[in-house]
Amino acid sequence: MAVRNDSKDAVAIVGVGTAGYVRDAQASLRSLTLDACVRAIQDAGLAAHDIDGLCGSTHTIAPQEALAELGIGEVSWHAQLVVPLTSHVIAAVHAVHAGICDTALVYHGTYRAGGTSRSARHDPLRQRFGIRGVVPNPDPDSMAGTPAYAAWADRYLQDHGWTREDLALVALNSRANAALNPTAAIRTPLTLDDYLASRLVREPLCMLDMDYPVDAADALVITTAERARDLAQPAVLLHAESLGIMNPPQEDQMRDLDHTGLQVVMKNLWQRSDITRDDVDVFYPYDGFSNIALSWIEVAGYCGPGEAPDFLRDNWDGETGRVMLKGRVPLNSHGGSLSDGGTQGSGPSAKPSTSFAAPLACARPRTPQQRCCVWAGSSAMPEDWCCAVNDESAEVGSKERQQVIPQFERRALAVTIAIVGQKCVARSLVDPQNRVLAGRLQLVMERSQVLRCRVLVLGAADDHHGAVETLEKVDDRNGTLGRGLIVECGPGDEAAPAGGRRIEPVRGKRRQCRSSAAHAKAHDSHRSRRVVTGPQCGRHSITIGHDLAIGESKHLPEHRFHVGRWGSDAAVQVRGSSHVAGSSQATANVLDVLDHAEGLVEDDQGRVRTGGRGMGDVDVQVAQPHAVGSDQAGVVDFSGKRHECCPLQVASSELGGHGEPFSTTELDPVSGAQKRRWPH
Amino acid sequence: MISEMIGGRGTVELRTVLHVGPAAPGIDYEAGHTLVSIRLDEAPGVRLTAPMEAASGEIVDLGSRVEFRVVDRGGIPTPAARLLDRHD
Repeated sequence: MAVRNDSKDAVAIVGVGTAGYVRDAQASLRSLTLDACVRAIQDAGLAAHDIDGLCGSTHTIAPQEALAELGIGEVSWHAQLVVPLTSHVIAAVHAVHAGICDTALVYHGTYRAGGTSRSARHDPLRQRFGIRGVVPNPDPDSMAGTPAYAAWADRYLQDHGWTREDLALVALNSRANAALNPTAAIRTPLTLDDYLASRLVREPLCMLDMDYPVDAADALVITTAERARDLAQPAVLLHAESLGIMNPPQEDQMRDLDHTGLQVVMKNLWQRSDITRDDVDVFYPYDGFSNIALSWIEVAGYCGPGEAPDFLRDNWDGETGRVMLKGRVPLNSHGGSLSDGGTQGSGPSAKPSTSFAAPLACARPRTPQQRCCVWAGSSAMPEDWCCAVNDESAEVGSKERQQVIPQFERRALAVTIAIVGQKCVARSLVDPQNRVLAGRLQLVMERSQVLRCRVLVLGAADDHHGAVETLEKVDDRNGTLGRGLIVECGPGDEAAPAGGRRIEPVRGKRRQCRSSAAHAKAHDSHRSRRVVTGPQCGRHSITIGHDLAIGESKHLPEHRFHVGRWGSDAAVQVRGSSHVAGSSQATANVLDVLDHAEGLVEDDQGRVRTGGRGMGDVDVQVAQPHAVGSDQAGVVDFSGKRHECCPLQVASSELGGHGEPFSTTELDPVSGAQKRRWPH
Repeated sequence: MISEMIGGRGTVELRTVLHVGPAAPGIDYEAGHTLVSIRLDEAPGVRLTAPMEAASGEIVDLGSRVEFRVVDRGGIPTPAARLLDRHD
């Protein structure tokens, strides 16, 4: 078959973003993913409406959700693929090149869910989180998936006479590189003795042979090389891509390590590429399992089969304790999956700062197309991919990955509920200084600046001031309030305005809301079409600062906020009202939704809603508090507090499954608000 | 469809000892759960994966001769591989 590479250098990476790689991000996977997306868009100097293609991983939210929550108007291409992220990159390159979309956002997020580490397994919160779309193999007697990596590692050692000390080279190299990368998840120095003393998990693989579980997300923006010239960042041209599977592909049926997807990938990559192995300046062999990195090095042609350990020793830089291939090419300069963090190979994507701009590469004079990178990774040995990237700039994505939320003592759930309704949080989980909240809000504000959203804080009466003070503190640092970004929500009812303080926007323009009567009428006219769940709303009401200042405008408690959330598990689960997973997940989602709401506006039917581009929406409904159930796992004890708990209810509305079709939305040309058209 | 009975003997080509995995009766991950993939004598293109009989973390040599049999593991009939003598 003739070698073709029609998209060679025609498509570029123009923006990268990451949510940071940490053990405990204090945020949900959804939130992390959206953070990374926002930063990638921001990095490219684009706005959400510039994105017309979406490709996400099955680990995290679907493109529909990303679209709704990022406020992207519409896309002409979307896909959701299994990891590694380079599969997504390759799909996006080809979609852009084919003209089905112009600018694609590619994203991946992963969560340290129960089952990925011991500590996660013993954490009742994390136990509930799984990787979306990935069902762990329930069969203890199967080689499918991870056990086979260990078995083939064993074969590699046995066939070539190597030992664990040889596997250790990969882990030691990754850790040494992580020490040079301030954003790596684990950077403590690692010695061979440490490695050999490490607990065997799947023999012969020990804990340090397997990627380091993290909460993380990465995103990239991909567009045509032509368009890239006009954008904020110098383009990184994608020069050649390659994917491959070889039959038999099943882990325990693979013929041997010389007959895998890797061989297909590298053969085709070199054939399609003008870049040769000698041109490569940085190399990212996937090291989710240490032995895979050895295979990549061999299959890429740096040495023969079975020779990688010797090759690594020959190329070891004693000074830095890491590999420098031929004295100049770092290997997994970001720290690899083993130390930078296990993100199924997406690590190099968002790390041009540490990888493309690796010390050695930076030292060399730069000319276009001088530096290139081979980003090789796999989620499974038989099915692999590789990209050659032609990097025209050292500056791409030069912003360092930020550690978005400091490590606080509390976890995502506590943060979530602290914002959504503090009264339902067991006291022990409330962060007395609101530090978690501050970290969280900081992030929200960053995001709001990019997407011009407003921040909505819902607090129960007694704890409300704390939240507002926190906001103000954050604002002191950011000046966000001056931009009128805050929407404050306090409790209250028709007769007695909330005691919450009003945040007066400095430059924000306040909109007057409709009268309560108008709202009531609009609502009534609408109610018959809606599925109303739970009891009718009680005395809680929400008043909204900025747009609708506390004490000035009243809303009927039945008002709902359309918050741009594609209907999936959470919305439905919470309706079960006592379902354990439902309660926490739903609150987490509420928070996420609020984070990404573009701001509350009225639509022409008098409903208060976000300006977000909700395709299928979820209502956040002010309701009697029984909606959140008890938490049997013991993370948060709602028992005895059921009548005080969260004043929010997430009620699934027209999301299908309730006998109502999906609705469609359109943009109001005058106000910019979205109107909902109801299918008839 | 043609079915053919085969003897269930073969040679160990892959092995690992797992210390984590889905909980199941009769499996002690702390001691180690030994899995092997076997090339069957009578179906050389296929490997069959199974736990070692009475596995308790001991490793089995690559190239070992084994035979499949159904054993009672925690009250559940489970196909498992039993070590044979070299010449079998």
